[in-house]
Amino acid sequence: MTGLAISDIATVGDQPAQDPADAVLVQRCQAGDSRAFEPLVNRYRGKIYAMIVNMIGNDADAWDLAQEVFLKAWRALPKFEARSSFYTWIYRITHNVTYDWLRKKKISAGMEFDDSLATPDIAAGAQTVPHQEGRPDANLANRELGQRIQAGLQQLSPEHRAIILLKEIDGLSYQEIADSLGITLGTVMSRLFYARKKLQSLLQDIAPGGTNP
Amino acid sequence: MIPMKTNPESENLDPQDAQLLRYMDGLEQDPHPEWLAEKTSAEHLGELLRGHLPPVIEPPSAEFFTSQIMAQITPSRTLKPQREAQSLFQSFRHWFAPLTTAAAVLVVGGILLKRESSTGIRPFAYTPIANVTATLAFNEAAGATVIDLNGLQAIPDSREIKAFNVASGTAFAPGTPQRYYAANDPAKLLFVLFPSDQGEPSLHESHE
Repeated sequence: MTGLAISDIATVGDQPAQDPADAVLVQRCQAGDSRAFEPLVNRYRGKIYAMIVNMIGNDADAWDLAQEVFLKAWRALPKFEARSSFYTWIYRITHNVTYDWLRKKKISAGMEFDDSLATPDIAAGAQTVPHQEGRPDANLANRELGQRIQAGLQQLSPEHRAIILLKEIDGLSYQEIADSLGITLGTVMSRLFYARKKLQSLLQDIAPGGTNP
Repeated sequence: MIPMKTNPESENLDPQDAQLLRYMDGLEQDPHPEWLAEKTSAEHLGELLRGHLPPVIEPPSAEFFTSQIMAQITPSRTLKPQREAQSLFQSFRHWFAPLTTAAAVLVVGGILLKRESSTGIRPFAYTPIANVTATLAFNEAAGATVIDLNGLQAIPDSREIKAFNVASGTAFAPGTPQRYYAANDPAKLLFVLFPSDQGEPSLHESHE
């Protein structure tokens, strides 16, 4: 794995410059200061929650799964050796938790994915960033387009979906994705290549260019 | 168009596909002019995704989200709530954030706690208003947990406050009303919470 420099870690989470860097907070946590975990939760809860909502396609379970991610991270922090950033490390926990949940859901449903996963439902209290206002008809068209994209995304395998989200939404590099998912660089590139092709074929009318895999 | 492989989960791309991928992501200079359409298409897909999938979504009741985690990891609490109480709260949770932003609405939530429980979940009190604190204490004589709220403003006499003794509620489903039934008569509908486009639910009391 390729670790990030401390200076990189301080900016990767988009936190204000005056806030302690992740690495500092992690060290305090590892020394037993549980209060140092609170700014880490506040810093990453929006990203983690968004990743889970985008991965599972609804928010009914995302809140609990995001809670589970942070509790697992807290319990695992003593073993965290900072070879990768806290950011990619907690993303890895997020994906393990999400995969486990998707696997159990698949088993209990006796099928790959049920229809409820096809369109996202975000609770009334959820706040997306940034928030945009617009004309009602434009908002409706935009919302329908968003549902098409989410439906297409939900037809990908969880592995392909995760790659697409980490690359296109979170803007991670190949190496950061490899660190986050615990896979090789070659697998990252392979999955990304075919995930894009698959998604382009699923969204051919709005994102032409893909060929059928 | 680039032909697809038969095994999409193969460990490594062939060198040409790997080069194309790196080119599409701006990591290679233009090695083959005919790949420009592929790159443009990938960029368009990325813009579509970024335009419709938010990278950050604050969870509902974000402060409560954090305080719940901190309560779980802070080793100073000893009381444990009943699982039923937590489940009831979870059904309200999705309504909680919009309610807290409505200044005209005062919500006082109470979770009945028992000292003995097998859930292993630590109880804690949370208030959505920064200068209001809540503490919990188990009163042996009363056999109940007392919730003490400090810092609340005086409630004007004109404000109507209603309390419902709720036994059960329909499961939360986004965009659908939730019905709550009486503790002393599980068949009696007490009130319904309706969602609204503005995000703030409206409560309709039943007079059945």
